[in-house]
Amino acid sequence: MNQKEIKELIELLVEKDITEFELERGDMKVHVKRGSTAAPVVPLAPAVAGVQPFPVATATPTPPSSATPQAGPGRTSAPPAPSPESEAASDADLFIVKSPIVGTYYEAASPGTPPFVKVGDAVKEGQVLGIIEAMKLMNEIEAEVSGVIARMFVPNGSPVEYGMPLFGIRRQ
Amino acid sequence: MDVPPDNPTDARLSRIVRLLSDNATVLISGTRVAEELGTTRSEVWRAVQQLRDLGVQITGHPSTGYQLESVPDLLLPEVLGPMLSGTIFAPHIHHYFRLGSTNMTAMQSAATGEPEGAVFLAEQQIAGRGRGANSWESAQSLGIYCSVVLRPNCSPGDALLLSLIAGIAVAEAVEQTTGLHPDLRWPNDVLLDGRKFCGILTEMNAEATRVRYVVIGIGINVNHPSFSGELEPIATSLRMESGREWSRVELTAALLRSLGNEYRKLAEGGGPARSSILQRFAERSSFVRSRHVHVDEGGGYEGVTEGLDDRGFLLVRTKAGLRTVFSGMVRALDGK
Repeated sequence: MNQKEIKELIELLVEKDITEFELERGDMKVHVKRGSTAAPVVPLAPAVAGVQPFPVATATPTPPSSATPQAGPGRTSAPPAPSPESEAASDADLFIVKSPIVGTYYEAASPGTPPFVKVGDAVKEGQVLGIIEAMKLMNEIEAEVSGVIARMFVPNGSPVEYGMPLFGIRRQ
Repeated sequence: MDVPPDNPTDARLSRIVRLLSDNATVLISGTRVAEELGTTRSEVWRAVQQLRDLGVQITGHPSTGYQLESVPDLLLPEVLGPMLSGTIFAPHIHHYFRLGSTNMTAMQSAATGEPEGAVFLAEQQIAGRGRGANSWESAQSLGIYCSVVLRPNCSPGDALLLSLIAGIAVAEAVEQTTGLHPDLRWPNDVLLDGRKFCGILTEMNAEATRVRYVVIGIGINVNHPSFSGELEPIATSLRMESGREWSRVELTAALLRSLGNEYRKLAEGGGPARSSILQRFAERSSFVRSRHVHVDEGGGYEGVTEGLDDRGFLLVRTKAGLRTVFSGMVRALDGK
């Protein structure tokens, strides 16, 4: 079972409001449990479950979960501890990905989902590294070169200016 | 595993509906439908069954011929296309009966070369997306779930205005079609009587100085009879506000014409077009000036709105001075 199939499975469980599911196939075993603590699975559930018969949308019920947690400083891996001078010295040859707009930086597609990248990750040209939001427009930031993420300059949820460095990529 | 049918609607289904709509008062023989579609009578029968499963009311069978009981309010390319002639949206309309999210599919298609003006419409979304983790639950054929692909020749900063013109286009279309007068809550929630009936989510893929593509996703509550639970105080539909149902086909056509028009003005206009957009947004929105609001950004703060800056960002006068709202949700503290 690959990641896509697992994702589809979880979507199905959310859609059908199934709270627990176990599947054994050969040497593989999948156990999914949805509940108040299962944050990664739940984001869709409150609006869907709480609302009948013609649920619609929501913007308003969820903002606390969407905006606040991310906006709070320190919730996630802020940029890696800036390391010693040796590192800083070698920053000169990093490819710097800059913000194309003014807005708010997000490291994940939505709260509760894993960050697009972290320091040390190998990335390919065109891969999404993060999102800058302004005026409810989500701007996907792509890696302009392939390499390894050496620096993440901006903490999740913080404001960024036009042209501000977001990522340092060490080309390979 | 029961994977959702994310396939585009079979073009033959759309053509059958069009053919039966054009001849709404008579039975059309299975042979004629088969000839028009270049297929067999048994394929037509299968397609008709599929349409019935999807809720289209068709009477008859292969030996009698077929007839529509009522013209369905489905957003099919064959129906919408002719209503959009002359706009960038006419040539590439993609319809789905059921889709995860129109925005997600539109973004994926844009990444692989979908042209400017492509439209993605779903009768039902099962994983509609809003801002952040917000879901947008989209019941079948009650609302409009529409995403468009644009490839503006401008800087990423200028593309932010697309967020504002999308809201203006919805308000214009609703006004023309229903006579209702929607309010705009910055940047682009569309409200009636203080409740939201339309949400817009724009996604962009850009380099530092150039936009590759933008997808504008628009969800409109049209014929929902009511909302309950936590949505009840904050959500509404055009039907709930006007006491009658509306044609989603008419509304979608009006919306895309209006959006196409606004987009053309922005693309052609430069500086004057930009100020015209900001001015028209301000005229349509009660939120631009003198509203007491809470802003969900930078830890959250309160203040009184004081217009838009020249990039379209909302200005809010707080005790600590004038602040610029970049992306936060704005909520009224002074009533609707």
